[in-house]
Amino acid sequence: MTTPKSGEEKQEEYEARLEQRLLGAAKLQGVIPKKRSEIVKWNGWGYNDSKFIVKPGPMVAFTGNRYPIGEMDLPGFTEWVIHTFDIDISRTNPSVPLPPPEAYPKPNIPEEFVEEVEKTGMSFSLEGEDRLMRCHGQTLHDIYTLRFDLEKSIPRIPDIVVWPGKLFSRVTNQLVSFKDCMSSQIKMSDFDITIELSDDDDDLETEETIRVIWVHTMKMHHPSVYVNQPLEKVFEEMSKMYNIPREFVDIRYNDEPVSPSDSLESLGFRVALDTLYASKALQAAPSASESISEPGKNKLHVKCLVKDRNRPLNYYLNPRQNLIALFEALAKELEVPSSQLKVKFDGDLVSAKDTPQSLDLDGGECFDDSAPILPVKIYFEFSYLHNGPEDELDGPETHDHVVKLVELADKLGLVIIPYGGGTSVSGAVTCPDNELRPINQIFWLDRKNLLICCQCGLVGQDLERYLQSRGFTVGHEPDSYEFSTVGGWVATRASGMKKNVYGNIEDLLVSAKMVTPRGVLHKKGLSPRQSVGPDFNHVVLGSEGTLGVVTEVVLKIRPVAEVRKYGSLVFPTFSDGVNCMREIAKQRCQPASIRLMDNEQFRFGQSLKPPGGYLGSLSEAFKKAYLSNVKRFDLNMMCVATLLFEGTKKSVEQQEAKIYEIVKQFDGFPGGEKNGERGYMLTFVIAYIRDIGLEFNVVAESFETSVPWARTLNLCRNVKYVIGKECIKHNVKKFFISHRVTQTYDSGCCVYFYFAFNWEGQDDPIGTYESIEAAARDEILVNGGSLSHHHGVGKLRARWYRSQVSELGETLFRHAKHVLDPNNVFGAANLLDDNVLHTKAKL
Amino acid sequence: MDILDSLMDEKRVYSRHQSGRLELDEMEEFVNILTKSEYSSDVLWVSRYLQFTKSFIASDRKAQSHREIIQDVLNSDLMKAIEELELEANTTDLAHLHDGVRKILAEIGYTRSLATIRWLALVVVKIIHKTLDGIYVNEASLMKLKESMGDSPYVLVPTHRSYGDFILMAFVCFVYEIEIPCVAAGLDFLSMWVMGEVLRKTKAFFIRRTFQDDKLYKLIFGQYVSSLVSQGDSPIEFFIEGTRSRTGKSLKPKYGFLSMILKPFLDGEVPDIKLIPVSISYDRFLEEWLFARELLGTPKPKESTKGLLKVFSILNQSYGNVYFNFGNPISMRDWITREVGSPLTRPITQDVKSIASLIISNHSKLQVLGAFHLVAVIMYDNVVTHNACEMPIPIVTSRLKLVVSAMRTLGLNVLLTKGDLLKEIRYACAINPELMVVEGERLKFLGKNQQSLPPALKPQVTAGVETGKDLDPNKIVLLVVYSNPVAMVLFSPALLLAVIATKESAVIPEFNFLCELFEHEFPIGSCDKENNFKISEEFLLEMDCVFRTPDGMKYAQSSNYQLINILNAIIRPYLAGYLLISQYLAQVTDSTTHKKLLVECQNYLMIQPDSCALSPIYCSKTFIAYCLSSLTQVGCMNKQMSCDVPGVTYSINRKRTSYTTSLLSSLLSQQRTESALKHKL
Repeated sequence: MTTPKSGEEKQEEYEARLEQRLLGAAKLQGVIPKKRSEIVKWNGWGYNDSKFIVKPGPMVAFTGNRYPIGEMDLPGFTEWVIHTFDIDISRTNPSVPLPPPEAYPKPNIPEEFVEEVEKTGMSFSLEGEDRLMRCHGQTLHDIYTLRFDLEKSIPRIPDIVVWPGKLFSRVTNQLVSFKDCMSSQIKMSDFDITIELSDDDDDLETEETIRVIWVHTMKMHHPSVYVNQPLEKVFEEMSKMYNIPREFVDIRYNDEPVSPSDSLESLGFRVALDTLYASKALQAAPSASESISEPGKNKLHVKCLVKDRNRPLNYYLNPRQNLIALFEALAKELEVPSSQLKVKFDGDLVSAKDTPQSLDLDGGECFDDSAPILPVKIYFEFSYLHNGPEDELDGPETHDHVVKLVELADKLGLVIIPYGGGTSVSGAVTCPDNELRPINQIFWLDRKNLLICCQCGLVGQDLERYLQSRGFTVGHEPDSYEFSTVGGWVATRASGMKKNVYGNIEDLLVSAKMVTPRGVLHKKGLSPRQSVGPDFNHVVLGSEGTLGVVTEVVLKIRPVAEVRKYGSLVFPTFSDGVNCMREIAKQRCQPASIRLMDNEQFRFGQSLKPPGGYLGSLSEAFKKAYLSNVKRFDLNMMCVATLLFEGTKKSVEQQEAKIYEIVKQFDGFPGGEKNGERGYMLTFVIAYIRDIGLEFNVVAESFETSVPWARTLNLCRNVKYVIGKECIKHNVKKFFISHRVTQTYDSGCCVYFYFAFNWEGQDDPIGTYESIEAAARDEILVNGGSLSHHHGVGKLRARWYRSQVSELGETLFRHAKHVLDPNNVFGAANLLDDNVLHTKAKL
Repeated sequence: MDILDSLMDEKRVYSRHQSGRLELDEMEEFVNILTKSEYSSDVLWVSRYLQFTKSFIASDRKAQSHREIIQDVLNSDLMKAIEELELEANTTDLAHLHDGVRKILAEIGYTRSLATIRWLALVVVKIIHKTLDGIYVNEASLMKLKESMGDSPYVLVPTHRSYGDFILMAFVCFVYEIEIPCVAAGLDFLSMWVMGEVLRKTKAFFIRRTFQDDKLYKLIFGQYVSSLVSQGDSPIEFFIEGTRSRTGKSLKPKYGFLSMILKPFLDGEVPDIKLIPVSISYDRFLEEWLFARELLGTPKPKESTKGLLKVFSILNQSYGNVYFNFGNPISMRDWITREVGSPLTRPITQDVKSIASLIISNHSKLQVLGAFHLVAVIMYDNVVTHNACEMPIPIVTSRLKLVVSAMRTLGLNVLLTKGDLLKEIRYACAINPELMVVEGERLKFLGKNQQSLPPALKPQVTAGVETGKDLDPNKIVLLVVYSNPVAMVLFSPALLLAVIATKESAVIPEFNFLCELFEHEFPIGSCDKENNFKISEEFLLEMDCVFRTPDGMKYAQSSNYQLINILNAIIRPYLAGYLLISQYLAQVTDSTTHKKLLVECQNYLMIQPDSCALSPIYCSKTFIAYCLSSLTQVGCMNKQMSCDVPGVTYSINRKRTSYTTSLLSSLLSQQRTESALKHKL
């Protein structure tokens, strides 16, 4: 069976590789391995080696060297923490250890599923640790439960973790049995499958596994055929699988019908790239067709009236014969494809599957030649046979595997939770739920049109590394971009720090493929803008894993900016700052990023300065004196904005000049480059603070909203007030509340709140936290803020969803869900409140 | 009697603490701030270092000075909208508009001069020491209030009984170093020479008495109040009753200013607004004679500095105590659901009404009663029920105990400082020696006409008020005024008692009807009818005026007749007056205007042979006007806009009127037979 490669074949293979190179396709070695816990924390944020620790002294320090404050003592921060939360730093509250393998519940997964998954060659894992790693996002509730209340988390882990696709590619699909999910006793297991892609194995030369898509269901099949073998085998397989006569199997390649006698070779079929599309033919192959132009015994006389024709066409049909032959004959006669025919009887549309009998044409009295004339009206109407996704974008195995998985889950009543970077803060990936993490492969890079097509499991930092090494960038940098994935961005409507230049994910997204239990939702073409009805990208965006799995994504890219420069602004009060931001937004001269911190956060940021850091304590003192004495700033009111400029050297200079000009009107002044840079560095570090906080009985969480400009200050003020009052109500004595404006738009901005408190004396700190946040969210909504700017709805905010989109809006979404996923395979239970009730009650 | 005595002993009413504090259950928090000063001289005291507690400190912006608040009004969206409208009306001359607005703002706007505040404090402290025995402040609740300040605008809503109210409120704030509140004062104060500007500098802002006609003024004033609430850091003070109550009881609240105050909250500009009901109770009003005369029909004299000096000139007498009782802040968050949205948000009228009514009922609960008011009630009962102007001291003492326990049952503060009931009675008489006096073993009401008065204060003879029994109407009115604080809280129980006495069942609808009928006179309980009923019922049960049977409440004939008499006396003039008026209305055939009706009613009342000692009360125009509004409210009269007669005309609803008449007369006749019975006993 093994034959040596011919020279020609080698040439072909080389060309194929060259083509891949030209496309810019690449398989990336991601930062985050399949065994996530090797690199990132299982019970907290970020990398294992980066965290805050308390050294004897006491002294808080940050470990690791991934961030600029790594390996430094932070006396200011130590003092700040002790002062703000009144904690006893010598008393820690350590996290429970990672449970041993035997502690996890046995995966409850149908054998059939495992078999099928094994057959397709996906990798999977049933190990407890892998499953645990993927049962949560980054909400306070998730992390708190993992650290202190693990027994609660463990029953809720997925049963299996599956990584569709071949080597290097990972899709983590968490699957839970649907029934379990509904009864709120969620059991999940992790299913991890790795397949070694035996790259240049000679054996593959002769026998190939090809992709055949059954277009009616978008189901993918993988028959193996020899290159020279007639495709008869495929036809038979299809006919067996779908239980239709072989003659009715229609297989097309490049939209041309394939005959069973064709072979892959004769078709010029490229195994790596091409797909066959199989469907149920509308008429049997000619051999099977019976003559219908001649009258015969027991035949019915069917008279067909054709629009715009005077003479009827006469045919003779067997009562039990279906109408396919009739259709075919009509098509031939009228010279149109049979798929474009519309046949009506008694005003009702007739399908090719019908028989005269099923249409009640038999009547018993009309079995001879003098049968009454049956008026069958036929006229033309364009109907387009859906041909499935465009093959130029049809990705390799991953996508197919996802399709397969979704099919299986649909069949077996399982729940899939797509999982990306696990950075969700809306409770969206908390089981039961769904985010998406397929493989980190790049299919192509289109330098001319500035587009990139990649798989959705690609982690942000990997994508950027790849692109920047080639002089490009997507420019999408959410604070979680070290860990979050492209698919996750799309599924949650993410927003990046530099959206002013590059746009939010909805601006960046050109096209996305979403696999649903009822097929693949995919927009055709890559044109820059289309007016083709409602844009279904927006069904994918923000679907939060409730409708399907995003497998492939095409994003816009930009050339890497020549200059990247930081800056900062100082304002006497927060309201001056907001007014200035408003003016900058009005004049549309925002730099790539502009963020305004309030006084509390400014002071918090100051505390994170390492001693004698950038400025040294002497210049610190000088600065303080300058601010309070010369500028007459109240150090307890002033606030700071950080800026990030990107562009050519000249344009950055212009931007700076313009901004500093505007700032003057609002009593502000530039505060230096270093402060700006530190501000952005802190963005990534700040996420690590929660973990150490939990060790000292401090819970911390952030939440965000977007709000029109005119309401911004009121909203900030009122929310702070409400939180203060709620803390008193819940007997919370030491707390920290702070906010910042992180994005500006023409009409409003995004406000981020940080809230932390010492839970000393609280029976249920998470319950307290959630109740306070809910009160804050109510206040946000009352003050004209939105439910979320970019965190999404998830389960945490599902209870407000309907009030935000109207009742009809919610119904619309429900129906969309019903069409795409009637069996609730994607039972993530995000957005819609009723799904979340039972789990919420348990929290 | 014995039971009552032991009750009183249990409550240990009389002992007095050395440092001005009272060793008495709920009274403990009351502190006489006049005995509190640690400074050797008043001059040193007023010039001490002051650190005022602000009401609203927003952490995101600097507090606005009075000038900035005016600027804020000029920069407001409202101002832009007004300008646009003007431009649409082809007024090219915006400067004119701006001038007008600036003028209005200059008229309204408060300023703040710490020097003036200190000077005024010095003057006030001197006068106070001369005229008042004490200013008692509920220090605990005031300190709690002071501590909680800073998070949102605080609005002080005191009762309004005297000119002294806002000066004394400012004084109390000065003592406790709370930022002097911006107080809404009537524009007529501005016409007072010097005083107007002094008030302005001590943070008064001025409001025209009427501004229905001037749309621009209304808008600008509203915006000014908005800015004051949302941008300022001072507490705000306004009088929800709109004007001084001359009668010693609360007036029906006004809603306009309250709505203005609430607007910034509805717009989301402030996180919350806290309304603090404050009761300022006087043993004796500075303006008592003016009030009496006004009530009897003399128009209110124009506010003038001369008038004020005149008031000061009579201040060399003792005016007893003034009591400040600060209630718990009412958070608007608990009362109003916000939906920040449209630019012209207005509070829902129902919300405003229920908040206003809540404040009024808080006012009456917060009242602090001195012995004088209680003695006045007892004397009033004596005059009304027994037609006697004298009574023996032992009876006064026993009734006083009874009234004290009744007040305590209702949760009111009774502040007795003398340690002995007899002393209290003497002290009460000393507060107003022209009203009552203790002669030998008898307490005498000096209401007989022959009683000589200081010539300056001799009442002008008011148009034909019948006085019956040769009593001086001025004195009668004063007696009623001073007993009214007690009447305020006893009115609902008294009504209920009357209803129970006449009716066997279904008392609640009649009780509610009567409460509504008398809402203008006693605007309490209308916000929470059920609760009002419950409290009254419990009170009557507790005081043994009624007893519970399986069928409902039963009138207890023999028990506690003294209290029953007092209760009956309290409602008698109102029942009688309203009955007469509705009887008169029953005779009216055509629709008629308000003004005409008012005069006719007054004339009718005066010629009534029935006029008793109390007729001066219900012959006043205010009384009749209230009665007519109430009757309209309950449907005895219908308001109509007619084309031929300008203004509003009224037509009579006969069915409703006769219902009212029969109800009132049945209550009244029941009372008469009752009191006749009592006399025999």
